[in-house]
Amino acid sequence: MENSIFEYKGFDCDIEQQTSDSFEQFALAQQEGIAPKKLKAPIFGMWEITSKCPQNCIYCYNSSPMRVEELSGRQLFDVADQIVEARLFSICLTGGEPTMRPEYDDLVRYLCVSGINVATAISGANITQPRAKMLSRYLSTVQISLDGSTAEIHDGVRRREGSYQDAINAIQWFAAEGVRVKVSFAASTKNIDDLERVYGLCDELGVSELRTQKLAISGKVKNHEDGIVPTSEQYDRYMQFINVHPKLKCKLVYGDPSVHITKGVKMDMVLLTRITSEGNVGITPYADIYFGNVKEKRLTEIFDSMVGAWNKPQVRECIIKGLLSTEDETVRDGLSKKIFIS
Amino acid sequence: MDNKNKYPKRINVRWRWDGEDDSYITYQNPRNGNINIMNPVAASIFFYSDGHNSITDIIGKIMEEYEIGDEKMVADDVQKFIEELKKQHIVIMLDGEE
Repeated sequence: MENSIFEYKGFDCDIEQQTSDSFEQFALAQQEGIAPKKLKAPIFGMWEITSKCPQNCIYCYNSSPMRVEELSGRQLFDVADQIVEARLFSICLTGGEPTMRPEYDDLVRYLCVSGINVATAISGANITQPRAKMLSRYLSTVQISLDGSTAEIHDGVRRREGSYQDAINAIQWFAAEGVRVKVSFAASTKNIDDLERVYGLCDELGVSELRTQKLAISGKVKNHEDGIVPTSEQYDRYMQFINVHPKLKCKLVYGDPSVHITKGVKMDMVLLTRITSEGNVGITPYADIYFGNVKEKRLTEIFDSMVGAWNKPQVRECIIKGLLSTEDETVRDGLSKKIFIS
Repeated sequence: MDNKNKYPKRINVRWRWDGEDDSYITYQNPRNGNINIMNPVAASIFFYSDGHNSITDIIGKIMEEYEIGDEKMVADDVQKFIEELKKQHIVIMLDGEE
């Protein structure tokens, strides 16, 4: 979104793409010998402010909905202050369904007026036209999940009747306010062959970008791959369409979700952090590898312990043993329990 | 390039001190949204570009901070870098005394 005062270009909500772009910038700086060896804090944050969700998507990477001991309202805003203090550049409020938290609107405003670029990833549930109008004043980008071109497909994947209409309404309302609307399409056996129609629909609805990636084998997919993870033939057709898709006003972007891991290891830098609804702070959305909890430590202290995280022995061991793998642009979480590294 | 009596002022980009000893700056480039890095000397020039230091002042501060005796070399580098920041809409140039 362009800021009218001095043409300030905001971040895209797509943290994976931002991280990938930033790794490229930092690699160039390293080549020129002008980059520091370590960053003080990550650049981007994905903050799962709740694990509550009206959906029950078959593929959810973090197993929402879940009952966990979430941060209190007071703790949420304490963490927001610490995000500002640590000078993260961008935060994406996600979930679960982030709009389920009664503090959501205030949190968006609070972070935005504190100088943080705020984006969000939502399903469209709980959004009304006036709410979309108000949120559009503060959000740089809204990412809405659309897993099918029809209610039958979308609601089937997300296992809630009415979910499709919520998504379509929210896309239209935010687009009408001029906020950048992105759609994420999670490819599973249930919907992968619908990508072309979803792309056409996104274009009709004024979506600026449709982003898709291979399904992460984490959360609900882990140990339940059959019937959810597309077959190799389906992935072949999917990639073929992506490679030759017609160029519409809506951009179709295929992303590799493993970049933050592969480049993180290679460059020994943590550009992305994840804060879970329980307050755990980690280095990837797709695996339970954490460096502390905001209920116990300040965020800056946790970030200090995350310096060089991708090459810490415990993390290297996970990668070497294949407990966190990135083969074929698919992130696979093979951890049997949460790992805490201090 | 004779702009030594101008007062560069950085616009309100998102930036932070960064690196091992807080001597680097990471900032969001307003033109393309990318995160870029400034090395310590560039970071100092950016930091001093607050609208209260003239380019002459900044040249002096850099010479002192980095113990460089070659004024011409520093002056050339500072002016070129500030011109680049100006091109990227990261600083604006103010005239005259405060």
